[in-house]
Amino acid sequence: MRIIKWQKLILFGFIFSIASCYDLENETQFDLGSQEYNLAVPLIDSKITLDKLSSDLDGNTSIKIGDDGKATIFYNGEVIRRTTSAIFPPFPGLIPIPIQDSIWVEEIFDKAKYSIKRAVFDGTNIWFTFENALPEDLNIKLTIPELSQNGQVFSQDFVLKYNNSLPAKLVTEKFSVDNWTLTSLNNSITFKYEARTKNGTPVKLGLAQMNFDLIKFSYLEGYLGYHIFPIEGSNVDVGLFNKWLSGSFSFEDPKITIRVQNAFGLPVRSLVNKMSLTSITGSNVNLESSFINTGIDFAYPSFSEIGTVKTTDFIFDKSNSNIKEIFNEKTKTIAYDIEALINPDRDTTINGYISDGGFFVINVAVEVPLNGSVNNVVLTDTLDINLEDYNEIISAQFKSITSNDFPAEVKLQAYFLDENGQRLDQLFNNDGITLPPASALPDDTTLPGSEKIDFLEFDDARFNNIKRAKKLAIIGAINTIDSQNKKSWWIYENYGIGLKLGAIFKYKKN
Amino acid sequence: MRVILLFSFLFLLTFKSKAQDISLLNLHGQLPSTYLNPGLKVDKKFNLSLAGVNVLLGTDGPSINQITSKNSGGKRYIDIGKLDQNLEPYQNIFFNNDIHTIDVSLKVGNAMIMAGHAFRSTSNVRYPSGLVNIAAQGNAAFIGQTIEIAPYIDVNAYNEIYLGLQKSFGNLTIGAKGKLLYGVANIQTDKANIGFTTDDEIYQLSLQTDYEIRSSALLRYNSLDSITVDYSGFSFDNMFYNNQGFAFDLGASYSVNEKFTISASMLDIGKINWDFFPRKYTSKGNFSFDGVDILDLLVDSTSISIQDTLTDLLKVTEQIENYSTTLSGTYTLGANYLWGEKWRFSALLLYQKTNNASRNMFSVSAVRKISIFDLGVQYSITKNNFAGLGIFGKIKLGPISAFASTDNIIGAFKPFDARSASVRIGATFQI
Repeated sequence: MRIIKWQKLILFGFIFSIASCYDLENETQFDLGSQEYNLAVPLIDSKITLDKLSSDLDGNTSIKIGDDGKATIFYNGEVIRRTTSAIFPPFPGLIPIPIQDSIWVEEIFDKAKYSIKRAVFDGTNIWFTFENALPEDLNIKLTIPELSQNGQVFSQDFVLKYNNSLPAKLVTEKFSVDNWTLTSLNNSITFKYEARTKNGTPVKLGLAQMNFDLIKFSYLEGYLGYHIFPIEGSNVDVGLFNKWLSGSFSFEDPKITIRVQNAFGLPVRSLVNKMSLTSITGSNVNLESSFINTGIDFAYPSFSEIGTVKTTDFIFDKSNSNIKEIFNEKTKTIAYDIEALINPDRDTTINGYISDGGFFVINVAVEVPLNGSVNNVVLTDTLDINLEDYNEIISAQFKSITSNDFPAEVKLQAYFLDENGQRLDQLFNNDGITLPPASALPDDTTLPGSEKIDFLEFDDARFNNIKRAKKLAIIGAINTIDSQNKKSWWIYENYGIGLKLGAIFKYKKN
Repeated sequence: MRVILLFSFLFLLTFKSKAQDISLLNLHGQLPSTYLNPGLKVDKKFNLSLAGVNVLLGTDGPSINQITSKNSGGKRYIDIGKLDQNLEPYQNIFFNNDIHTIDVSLKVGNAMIMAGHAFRSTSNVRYPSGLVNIAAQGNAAFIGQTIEIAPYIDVNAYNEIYLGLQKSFGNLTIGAKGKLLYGVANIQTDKANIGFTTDDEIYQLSLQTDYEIRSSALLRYNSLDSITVDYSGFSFDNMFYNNQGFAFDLGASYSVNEKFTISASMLDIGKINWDFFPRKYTSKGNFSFDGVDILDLLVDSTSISIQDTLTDLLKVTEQIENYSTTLSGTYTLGANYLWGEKWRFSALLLYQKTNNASRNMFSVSAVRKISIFDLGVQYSITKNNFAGLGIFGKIKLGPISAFASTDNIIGAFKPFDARSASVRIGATFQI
């Protein structure tokens, strides 16, 4: 019996142990431990070339690479566009044109402004209203000799019926005159009507008038008037010197380009009232050039070139202005006040045209061929950073591999700043890393830069210190080879700064 | 990394386990012994066995507590301080679970007809030592090296309905079972190669993958940090509709004399055709992360997350494609010796082949009959595990018997310290 009890106890204990008390779900949940983990990760792998920069830029800045690989930066201003409606806006038919006699000539274009020789209607409907004081029907034939289509003059027959009520009145149906051509020598239109009774007696109508809904033309030819389109107060933002701290630049051939694309068959002249450059220090200097006052005439398509767009570029450069001298004073913005003049000489003998798709576009751009020298220029920028999320990282060892293809020495340093701008630490040791200039070849190009490896140690204390940083101030100094003699260098598309950065983080879960 | 580890150990949560062990040899004359060998002679005219449960968890590598500790949050982590032992290139964690809901046998003439149902599941996770080492300490210690991190994961859960026959020819008894199989859930790893490299230049990370894993009704992969495993354990899902298969058991026993019996069997020889949402996930190629391009940072107004980039690094394609899996075939050789009226000694040699691993086990046991009890000890040796000291107990009250056993008594109480832990329980009725 005693043995049985002992055996039962064993059996009970055994079964109990099976059924009990391992919280398997909890026991098998895996996480990180309180030990230190050393994690090696790549952070940055970049080769910053102008070619890559050019594809990533947007907004008003672009980099264009020439066939020879040379780079040019463009800063574009606002594009000004004017269409046909700006010169000859559609005219709504609020007031009918009276036809005061059986032959009546009405001036429809202001002779003081225009001399329209030919106009083709587009989207215009006309209709007529007649009244008769006689108690009988009238047959009316109306003709407009200047209005024709395919050689056929506009002519319509109407019957004005007497309905036992005087005056008898007729409002005709509407006639679309789309694609009908108005040919005039004196800006006027002639209405002729014949109104006769049944027995053929001519009658003068008590009322005759032409109504229209909207006068709009798809084509106008003649002297289309003198127009001024002010394009003032516009700016071109030049970001090239935004981060400048000290030192000087010398670009060989900066330019300001005015490009006009003109589909109007009319003379267009750009009159540059003012072109001023503002430096990053706030000084304001006017561009000086003989073309500033005389204006610049732009090409326009002839009658045999209807539908084509004529493009004219006018360039203010060092040969016709003081642009080089004032631009190198670290231009920040270029302000311009330009007027576009249509028929600038008011010469009414000039026969021109506008068509419904006509327009002109004016674009002002700053063009900086990257050819010049940089003399100890120091640039700076400040980035907002927040390292508080990395409080489980105890320390870090960074490994950087840098290379420089430019014909310039580049020095880099970055400072960690707290919220009050106080310096906490610096990224690179001593004065920072120095990337020597690439070796220059006789043709003034360079060999690819060699790689430089640096290790940056941030031990527990340093890493803990920079976790308080709120800003990272980056300072770079650039000095092209022989800059003291203003030796100019072209920048090619394949030049770049190589930066590879990896880190070994010592990580401990809190 | 955590994801893979979690995934690897996820099946521990479903903990149930193994099929055949020496305790079945100790159930001589009773229906559960035919789980081990259908040719082991069953006594009486009618047998009924209910709710036989067998669970085994084991590893041929270190035990869980030998490589893990718990952090302050009570969660396990791989402890670098415990990794002083030399891990082999791969370790296996295996877990089997059989639930024999009902088995019946009826003697008809000279033959014993057997029938029954069981829910069975086998799982094996074969994990490389590189995965453990990286999870334990990070990848910085392996700069300039390529580390294999791909685990093999094989899970097979199915219902079986069998009909068997046992017949004696003199001292020889032969038995066979034919089984209709209905797969519940499966994962099969066909290829497992993921080389993880940390370059020594600026620690660029790359994965060289040739990984192929299939699953039906179990695994869904969306990304490295979004893997779902929907396993509900005992289930009749797909019964009679999908994932059908067939298998058989064959066995024989021979009574050399009244005291000594030898036996041999081959079990679970067959396969299942998986056609219920059979997904194949494949990753093949080289995937690398070299760092972020500063220009992307300047242009992209949204922040660029290195963590997200790493998570998205692995490219995996998904296909729906039927497939088949073979069962974990098991082969046994056994011997039984009756010493006097009270003692029975047994020995069992077992070989089991799974999809990506195999297991050998040699066991001996001694059982003494004490009144209504059979009490015994058993000892098993498997690869890297020589601590398999277990116990066996059975109580017989008239026609009703109940039994329980474990092949590792320490593991039964401390499963996370042991390399194996198993439990078998069941009840039979014999008349």
